[in-house]
Amino acid sequence: MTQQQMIELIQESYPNVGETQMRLLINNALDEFSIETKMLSGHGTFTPVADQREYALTALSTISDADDVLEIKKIDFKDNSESTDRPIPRFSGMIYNEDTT
Amino acid sequence: MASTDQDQDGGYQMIWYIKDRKLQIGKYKLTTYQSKKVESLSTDDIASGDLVRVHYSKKASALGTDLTSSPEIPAQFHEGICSRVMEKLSARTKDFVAARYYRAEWQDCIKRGKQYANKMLDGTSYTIAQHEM
Repeated sequence: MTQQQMIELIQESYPNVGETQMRLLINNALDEFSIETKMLSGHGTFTPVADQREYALTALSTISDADDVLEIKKIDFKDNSESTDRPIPRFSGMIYNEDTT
Repeated sequence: MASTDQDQDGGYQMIWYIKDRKLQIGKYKLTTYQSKKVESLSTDDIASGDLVRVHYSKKASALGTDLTSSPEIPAQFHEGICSRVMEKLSARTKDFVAARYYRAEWQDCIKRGKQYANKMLDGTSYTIAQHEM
């Protein structure tokens, strides 16, 4: 369905609701659906920097708003000297001794 | 040099974690596991051209003013999205019978969406979180 078709379907029952309001409600429902089902996935890359620990999610080539990322599933390290991606393990548990550099 | 291998003995292991909704990439030394000291990657760990690739689940892109555009989700769920909108509009006009009907439609759409998301194209299942079904 296109956005036009969705709006027309809704306006059959609610003809007084305008297009802008309708689009807002549709986008809210799309967000809810994405969060509930985690149906959509993607991947992006960034270049690691020496002595930098923290990276905003917007550092990813495919993300402009950090709130668009619902869950990180897996992270790989692509060594330029090799042709394969190797998964980086996720650290779990308490970090007892963390410097902030 | 930090390794991504989990069973590496004696050296640094590369790790990731999330803190304050930001991604942390670092390394820690397996031989000093008890201290769990995390350090940043150094120039010895990173070469020119190295990349970190992140796989994630994401929100659908918001629809803009182009009325010919379609939601990013598969077409069989578009009507369910309309049901959610109609549920909200029904409640606003205090038509709670209609709101209940549209809510049931929406919940069915969510259920089918979860089933779809957890199934691969060959019919086998991903790891399914039972509490999400």
